[in-house]
Amino acid sequence: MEKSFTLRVLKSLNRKSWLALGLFLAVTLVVVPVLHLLVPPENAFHVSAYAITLFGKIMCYAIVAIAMDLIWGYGGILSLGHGLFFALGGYAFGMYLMRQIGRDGSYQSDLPDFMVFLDWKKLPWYWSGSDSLWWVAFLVIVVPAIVAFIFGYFAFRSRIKGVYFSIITQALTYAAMLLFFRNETGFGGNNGFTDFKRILGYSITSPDMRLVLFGLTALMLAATLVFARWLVTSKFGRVLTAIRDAESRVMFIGYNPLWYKLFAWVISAILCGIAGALYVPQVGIINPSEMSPANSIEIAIWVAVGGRGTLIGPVIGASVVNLAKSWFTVSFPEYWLFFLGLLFILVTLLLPHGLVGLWKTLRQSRGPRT
Amino acid sequence: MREFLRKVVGIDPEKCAPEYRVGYPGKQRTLDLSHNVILYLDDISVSFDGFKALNKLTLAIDAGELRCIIGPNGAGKTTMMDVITGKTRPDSGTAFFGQSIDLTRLSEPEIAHAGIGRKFQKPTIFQQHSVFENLELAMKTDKRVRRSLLARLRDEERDRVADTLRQIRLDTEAERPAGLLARPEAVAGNRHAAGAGAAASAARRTGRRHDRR
Repeated sequence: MEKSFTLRVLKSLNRKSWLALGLFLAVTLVVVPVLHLLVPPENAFHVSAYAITLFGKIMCYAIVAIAMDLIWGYGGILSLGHGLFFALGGYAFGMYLMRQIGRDGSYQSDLPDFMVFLDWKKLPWYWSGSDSLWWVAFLVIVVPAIVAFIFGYFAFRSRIKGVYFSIITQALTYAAMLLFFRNETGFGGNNGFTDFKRILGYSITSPDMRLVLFGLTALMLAATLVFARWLVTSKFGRVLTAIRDAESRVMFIGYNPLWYKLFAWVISAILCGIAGALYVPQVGIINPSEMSPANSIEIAIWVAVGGRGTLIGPVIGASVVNLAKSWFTVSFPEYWLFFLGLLFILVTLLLPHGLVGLWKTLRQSRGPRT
Repeated sequence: MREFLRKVVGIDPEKCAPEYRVGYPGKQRTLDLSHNVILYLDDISVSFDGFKALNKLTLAIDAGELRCIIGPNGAGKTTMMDVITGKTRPDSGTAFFGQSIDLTRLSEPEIAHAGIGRKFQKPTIFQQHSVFENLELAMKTDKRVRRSLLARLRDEERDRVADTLRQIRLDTEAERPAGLLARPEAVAGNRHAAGAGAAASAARRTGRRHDRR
């Protein structure tokens, strides 16, 4: 290790990418807050609370899409259960938000409303410590990691691959959804968690808090991009793509694919968990439908639309599909799923490398390659 | 073959100490050549759903010996290679590398680290990786996750890859994706030169002859 670790992380992105990243952070951390707080609502440049929530949400999705791309685009492992890790992170942070409601719930009890409704007298053991932000932040990372580790260890050790792995991940998230639907599980059943009031005592609906959450999400997205870039340009990344392309050869030159896949898988789950934790306070609700297989499939669609095996692709894919979704579900609510299906078919048939691949082809056909 | 062992692997079969260490620091095994036998299969049987692919196979290969295995389709050549490299576990029998390394207990990567390399019937290279990266991945080193995450290519390792590239005359193609090479075997076939394998050249040679039927 001749060069310092920091220097290597810095060198994993070129100057243009750092510039783009800096611009992104300047817009999200400075320009948007100014336009939201200081520009009056009737001005055309005012950024509405709706827009901030929408883009905050999309940035959370973008983090999930990068996490998905790490294991699918680079590792060749298609997970159709990534919604589970997202929801676990969301639920973990949701516990804290529920505790922050305090006695302001409709039953004026120390317990969350749904527990009063179930006639529970005290918090279940797994809720202990949930009033501490630090403990919950720890859970947000550790719970998805443990679930991913246990599941991944056995799946990869048994050498379950391809479509079989995808089906099992889907079954896993479906089973978890059924579990969380039950009232006895202690996570609000059908309704999940909602009606949040505050974080660290500050109102969750205030413009300041909204901007803080938005800024944290932007920082997390930027950090995820840099981290993912460093990961895929390291030797680890090269081994991971080698496993995707020719796993048996990787084994016979002495790498154990189990640990490589498992590491990427757990990292991916942790990123999803963090994204989920940032998502819940901004959207204001978490319920078991986040774990539905359809949600997880949608994550795969974002990545496919944007472009697998690139890091900017998933970000673009998640943004484009979700902007289209928020427009469609308002204008033509009944056609959204048809459109999504059509999009997936078209991308698979015509754009195997997604929008990023399309952009590259267009640029190459326009002029001589530089 | 003796020449090869001496020059590339750095072992002189005549003067070779009966024991030496294989693998990378932290995960070494002792390859015991005290009886001059490098590979010993005894009474190996493998059956797939009742079909006997190997029936009580016994085979011993001396250190420095070159042995070719030939046979018609379905004779069990590939199954034998699979047993030696850990892909298939025998139903009965033992397979030893030297006197002490029990191949039936090790995983494929562990066997590769012990020094048994393998080439496939179909040329397998990492097509998306550059020629340089193909050699870098194959190079003998600590191949655990931790090191892959944090370690960089050391200068001597870089030199070794460069030497190998010159030797196989691909030094001008080092940065091209390996999938674009006209003869991808050129890379894969020289894996042992990159140092992926060590002592079990005898076993590896049999595999290569056999796979080129």
